[in-house]
Amino acid sequence: MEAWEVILSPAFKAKLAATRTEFENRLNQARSRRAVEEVLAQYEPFKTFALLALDLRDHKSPPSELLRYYETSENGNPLYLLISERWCGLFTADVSKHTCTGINVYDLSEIPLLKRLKGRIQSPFRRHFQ
Amino acid sequence: MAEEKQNPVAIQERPQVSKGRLVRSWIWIWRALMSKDRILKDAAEFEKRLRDGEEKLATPAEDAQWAKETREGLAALSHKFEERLKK
Repeated sequence: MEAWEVILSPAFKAKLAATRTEFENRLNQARSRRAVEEVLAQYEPFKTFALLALDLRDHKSPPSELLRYYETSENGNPLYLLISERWCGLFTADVSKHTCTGINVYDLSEIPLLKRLKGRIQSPFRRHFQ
Repeated sequence: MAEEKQNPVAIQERPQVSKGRLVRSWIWIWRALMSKDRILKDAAEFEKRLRDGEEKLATPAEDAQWAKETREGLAALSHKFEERLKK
């Protein structure tokens, strides 16, 4: 079975880099131990999400286990979400080319619908990734 | 109306929805629709840019160095947090 190639778009990569920098700045600005702990508590979920996205890219985790079907795009391509706590990555799959592309990254706390949908999104959509 | 005339109790049993609750429901529905649109809008814009050749995607091999540096950057920041908490 051919492995899926996972490609991350410039926007996806830029969001990961910008968020990491934002956490670093917040850490530098934190003046008390409690403030550092607060930033760390928010950084850990982001780090987990970023590592999952990198694992997908590096073939360390198969898309069928991590991505969940969300919706079909205007062009009829399936859209998938990689959800880890409050972080979410949007992916699209090209079945003919066996590629999966990361489009963007979202903070779920900014997207109320996804927060609610978290429990309702369909289980991993294996049929596209076999 | 006919039923209400026959059974006045039916009017009292109707659930009373406050204006506040109604407004909150509408706000939530509006936010939900807007959020859903945002995901689909991003996907549509991405597909358009890809079709028009405006979106340049690096191959996984070209991205290998970026991925390695990103992993190292995440680990380095975790280490920085640990150092701050040790103080």
